[in-house]
Amino acid sequence: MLLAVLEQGPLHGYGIIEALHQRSGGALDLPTGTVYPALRRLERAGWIDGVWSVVGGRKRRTYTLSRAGRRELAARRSEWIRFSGVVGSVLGGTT
Amino acid sequence: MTADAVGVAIGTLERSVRGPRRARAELLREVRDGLEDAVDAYREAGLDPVEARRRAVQDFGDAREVAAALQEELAAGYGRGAAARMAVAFPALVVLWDLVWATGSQPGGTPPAAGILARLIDGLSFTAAAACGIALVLLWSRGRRGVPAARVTTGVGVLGLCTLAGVGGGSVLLNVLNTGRAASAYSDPPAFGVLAVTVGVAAWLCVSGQRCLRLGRLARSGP
Repeated sequence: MLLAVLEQGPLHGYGIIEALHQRSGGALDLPTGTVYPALRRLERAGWIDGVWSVVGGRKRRTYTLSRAGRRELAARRSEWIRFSGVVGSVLGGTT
Repeated sequence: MTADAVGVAIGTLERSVRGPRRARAELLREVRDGLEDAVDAYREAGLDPVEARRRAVQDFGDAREVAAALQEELAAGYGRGAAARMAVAFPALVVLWDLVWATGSQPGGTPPAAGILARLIDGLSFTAAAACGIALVLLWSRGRRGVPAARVTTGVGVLGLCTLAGVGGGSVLLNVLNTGRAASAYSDPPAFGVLAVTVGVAAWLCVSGQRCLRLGRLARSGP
């Protein structure tokens, strides 16, 4: 999900949290503090790149989806579509 | 007067998270900025300053759990750097010493036992470097697959310190077995220079190994 919100362009930590909240219609209510270590883990994996830059007059760490991150996002998306299709078929058959 | 909620959360993180100064400071700054952004957003939504700070910290979650997750990332980052240093330094020292012995003008031959020991030291150095290369890959790309970074970082520390002890002890023994050539070699300025570099690099790697153990232990101890 973090990779997906970065697909639209670079964002800083709180921007990512806001984007997650907006895209889920407020349904995603994860503790915001968990986003920061998760971003560092994604950066360590090479899926996002983090740089310090000045945004709105304040120095912030901004993240961008890397090429490897785009590939990973595409793979995860396909996996999810296939999985949700299977589950949907099974559940749809029982009603 | 009630304590500032954001200050309390940041204080908890500052007390709990340990690691390399710059990486730690950047990580804490990023989290602090994020909390301040959340406060600003609540203020813009019309909340008073105290309530805005309280809500931002409530959304943040348990600071001790966040600190534990940040600690693991700091350990992983340090472990990756240490593994890279060791993967390069151990073989580089072998090559440097091979050059000293190959190009020097030391008299006499090498006793068979010293030859075997030298090969063992070389083998240990290259094996340790290969293991550090594997750890590097685990901490980097395999971070994608949920490899426990704290354990790998601890492993890098143990590997580095054991290799230093093995190579160091073996090298001292090698010089004892080969006293004549060693005494002659160390009188040459280039060999003495390589010896000084070796001691410096060994001390540097020793510090790296100890920090890996400490950060790995802190990250494994959890919130």
